[in-house]
Amino acid sequence: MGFPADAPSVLEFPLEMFVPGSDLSPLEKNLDQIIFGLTQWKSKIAERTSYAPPPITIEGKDYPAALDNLNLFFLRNLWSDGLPIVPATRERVDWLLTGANLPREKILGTMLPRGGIVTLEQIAVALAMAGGRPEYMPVLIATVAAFLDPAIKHEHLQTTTGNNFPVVIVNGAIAKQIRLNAGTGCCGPDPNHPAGASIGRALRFLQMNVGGAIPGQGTMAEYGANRFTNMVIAENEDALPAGWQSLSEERGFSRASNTVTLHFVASIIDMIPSTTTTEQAAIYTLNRWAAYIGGPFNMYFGFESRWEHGSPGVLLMGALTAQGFANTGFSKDQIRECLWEKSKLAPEKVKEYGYEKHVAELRLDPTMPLPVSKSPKSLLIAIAGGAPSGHAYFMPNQGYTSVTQEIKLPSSATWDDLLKQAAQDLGPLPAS
Amino acid sequence: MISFQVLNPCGAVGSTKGAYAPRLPDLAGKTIGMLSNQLGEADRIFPAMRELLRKRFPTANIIPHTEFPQGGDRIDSAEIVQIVQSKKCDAVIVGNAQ
Repeated sequence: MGFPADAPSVLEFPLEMFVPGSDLSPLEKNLDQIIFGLTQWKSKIAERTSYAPPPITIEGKDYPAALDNLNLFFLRNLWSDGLPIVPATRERVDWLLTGANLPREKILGTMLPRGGIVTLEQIAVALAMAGGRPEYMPVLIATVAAFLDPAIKHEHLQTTTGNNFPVVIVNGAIAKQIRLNAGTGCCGPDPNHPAGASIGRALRFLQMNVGGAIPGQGTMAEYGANRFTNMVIAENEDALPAGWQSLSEERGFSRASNTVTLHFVASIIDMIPSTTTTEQAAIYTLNRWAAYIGGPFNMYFGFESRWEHGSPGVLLMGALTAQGFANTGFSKDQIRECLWEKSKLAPEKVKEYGYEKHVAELRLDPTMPLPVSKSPKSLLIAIAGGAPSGHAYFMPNQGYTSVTQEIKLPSSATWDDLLKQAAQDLGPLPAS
Repeated sequence: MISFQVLNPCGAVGSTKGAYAPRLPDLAGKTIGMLSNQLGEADRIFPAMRELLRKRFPTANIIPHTEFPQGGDRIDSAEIVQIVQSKKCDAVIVGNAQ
């Protein structure tokens, strides 16, 4: 688990003890150790130390055999996700670090529960394993910085029995420059826009290897994180209707800024249909969306800090859906207000779902319908996905809040060189 | 035979002196608080643990989790520190799973 050898006693209790009606006899069997942890244990650490594991030598009769051995070795050590990885050699990591604007030793923080130290070099190692390119580094660095922001409370989300993954929405010119997808197939897989998969998978490698979120050990997620590549997409800023702000503008940044917005979600719901070709169609769509949002996902209001700063989740709509709403006179905030009102849970539903204690804890009026969040403004809305208005995505919340982080680029000369190299390696930028 | 080196994916870990509060010599006569995040059968496990500790240390004052705010957010706050201090706890046991 990566605990220092000198950590307080780490006792193992069977997972079965933590379910209703379980046998609690392991408590008595471990009582002496519990008492030891409170009384006799003393730290042997005399000063601040750190342990950096050395590089690993991989051998094989030829390169393909060595690559097989690498993948087997990483699997046996629980450092992989079960899919093939790319060797994070010193040369490859150095190449990736050309996309960073800070020294490789720069520390962004520690990732829990394991407490591994996240440096720019460690981020590059993860990106190397995920098959990434140096022009992805600025987005990945900003993403990791957002992930480690104390407001995100990653230590809870990494270890919970809940099943979640971070959604990362990128705004700014960088999205197209590095081939992130904002349109058809944006959630992947998409060989025309490979950046999202590598960046998301690199983040997942950091979560598992540096942060220790291995199923049944560091994370108790009952079904897992679902997405090997998390979700890293771009907002389709070209499709924003007149007067509609981008996600990053709503969060205080200029349209010219490059930003990432990170939020933890539990799942993905494909909301069909999501047409807005007429005013009546738009109303029907809002009614259906509200029914999805108003489902019994208690992760909006189930905990007080989520109520104060959290969100019902992330809603993605395609270009024509957005334009249809705008043609009917809806602004983004009006859509939010409408969904917030329509998704409220009637008091009898609150009772039926067993949410009365949450209403009491939040000191709300139990005779009034329960909204999904304290404010309608907290629903994250971005324009992304295929242009036709048949579908929209709602991703119910499992995080505490969302964070937007500005992306920092290397020098303009370096950045231009990286993009030129990408054009040589991958061909011209895709049309959309 | 070919070989190559790869960097370790796990990164460095660090440890610091003074990261842990000093331990108690024993629990006799001490006040111990129990803080619950309301998960992992805390409502059963904490009372069971309390009874086991009370049998072992009859003079210990083990304050049940029901006498503190409960819930993951509430036990991770400056407020809970003040409450623990106001109840003059010598130690706290925090749980239970996530």
